[in-house]
Amino acid sequence: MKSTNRNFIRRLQSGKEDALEYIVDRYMPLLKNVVRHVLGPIGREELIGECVNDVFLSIWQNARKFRGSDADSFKNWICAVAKYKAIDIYRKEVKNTEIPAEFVELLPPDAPTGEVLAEDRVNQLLNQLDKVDRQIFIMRYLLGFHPAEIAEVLDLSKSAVDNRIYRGKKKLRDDRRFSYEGHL
Amino acid sequence: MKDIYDYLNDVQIDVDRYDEEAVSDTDKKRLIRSLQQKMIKQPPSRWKKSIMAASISAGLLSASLFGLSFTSFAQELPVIGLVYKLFSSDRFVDGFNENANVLSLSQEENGVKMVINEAVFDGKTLYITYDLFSKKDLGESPQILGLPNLPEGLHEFIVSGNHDIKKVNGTHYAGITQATLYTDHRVEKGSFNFIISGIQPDEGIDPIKVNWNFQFDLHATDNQEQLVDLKSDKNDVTVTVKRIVYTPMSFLIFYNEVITTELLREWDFISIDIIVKDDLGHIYENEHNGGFGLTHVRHTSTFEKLHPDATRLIVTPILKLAQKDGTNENGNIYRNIGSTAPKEEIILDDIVIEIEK
Repeated sequence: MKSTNRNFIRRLQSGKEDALEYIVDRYMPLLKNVVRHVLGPIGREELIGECVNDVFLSIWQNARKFRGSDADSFKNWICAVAKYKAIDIYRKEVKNTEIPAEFVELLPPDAPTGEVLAEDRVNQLLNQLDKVDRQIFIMRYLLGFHPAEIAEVLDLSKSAVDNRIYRGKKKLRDDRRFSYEGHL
Repeated sequence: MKDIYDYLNDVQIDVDRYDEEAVSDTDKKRLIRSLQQKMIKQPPSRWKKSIMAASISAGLLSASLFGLSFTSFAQELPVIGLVYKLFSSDRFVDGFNENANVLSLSQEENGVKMVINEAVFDGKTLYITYDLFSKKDLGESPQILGLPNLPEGLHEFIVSGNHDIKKVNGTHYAGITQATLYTDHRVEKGSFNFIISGIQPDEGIDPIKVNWNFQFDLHATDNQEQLVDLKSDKNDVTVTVKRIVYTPMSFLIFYNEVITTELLREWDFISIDIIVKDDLGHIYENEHNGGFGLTHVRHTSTFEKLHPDATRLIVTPILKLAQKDGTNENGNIYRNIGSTAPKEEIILDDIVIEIEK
């Protein structure tokens, strides 16, 4: 059986390799551009290639976490994964040169290069928040949205977004298990 | 615990602001190759779990046939897919909810509570959905020990079954168990027992002993049956589609495979897959329920719900032959994933079936 535009999501979710080939063929041109938007300014073409590779591997490994069923919502989800991965790599790359404070401040100072632990920590942090705060934090810190953009997407005022970010940070800081001094 | 990939479902990305870049076929191929090297194959425990559930039928199967159902299980069963589909209310269980019998039975022991939610029986296969609430963590994919059975059925016993259990959040799990009766005729109703002796969490966590027996009576869903008896043959193999049963949720194809003893002697693993599509071009996902026999094997496969506008089904049998890599300490032959031992695939001519409405 081959993957087609009607069944590729289900086949991907049941771990069929031909579905991976299908999504590479169909979405690599788009996802490469998503990655380039974030990593382009660094000026190292090989980073973009590595990141695209990482993006598809994450999509493959986490396919069952995609909750929609149609190609449009799938496209949205993989673009979000691509942006998240690209910012993650951006953060690691620029760590030693400039400090894009917004991106590093959620992570502990000794964040290991092995990102499994880092992702675990991020997940633990995110689980402390309510749904709206969580969406705001993901958009702000993991996907690099500006507060004004978040406000527009979530239909909130900008000051409400700022407020929620402030309160969310405070909540995370108050929870001692997750306090990383000087970073929150 | 939910993670970032779950949460990314809720984030709206302005997809239109991105363009498609020119990517050469060579680049795509290079990416696929590199991904294949990094991919983590399905952990072998998945196999063991399926086989454990299937071992109830071991008495019926000769050694070489065990190998056969082995490969079928490993390659073809979208077991994990099924529960997922249930959660995402996908087509495979379309019609599940309106045909399911709400049971709401619960039992609790040693810090684990099991609530059986719904069950549906199509005359051959029983599907049961349930929730597990545990005081302690059971890992990502625990298993329950036990299978449903039909104590009063003399000739209708459960012959294969699968559990698929998925973490919902924290220590709350949801699962589906599918069990298939060994019978050629339709069973109208049954009093089922579902006896569970334990919960087997992920590796490294101690098993939990329980002593549960859920009992429930079910009537089979209204089905429509069509006799077919059409065959396709090539060289040493003949595949005959005997009949099709359409249920509100799915359809089942009963088909026979006859192979020569020469073929059986020549190859270690022999299996027949069927690919089924309709005249609208839709390809149906399927779940092989197992086959019995040595050179004359009777199979059934369950397919997702038939498209209402389809008028014809096209069945393509594929004969898969493979040689073993070796024999393990228990005397069972095995073949590794990615083995280079000889294998062959032979595609038989299509069997075209006019759907009776």
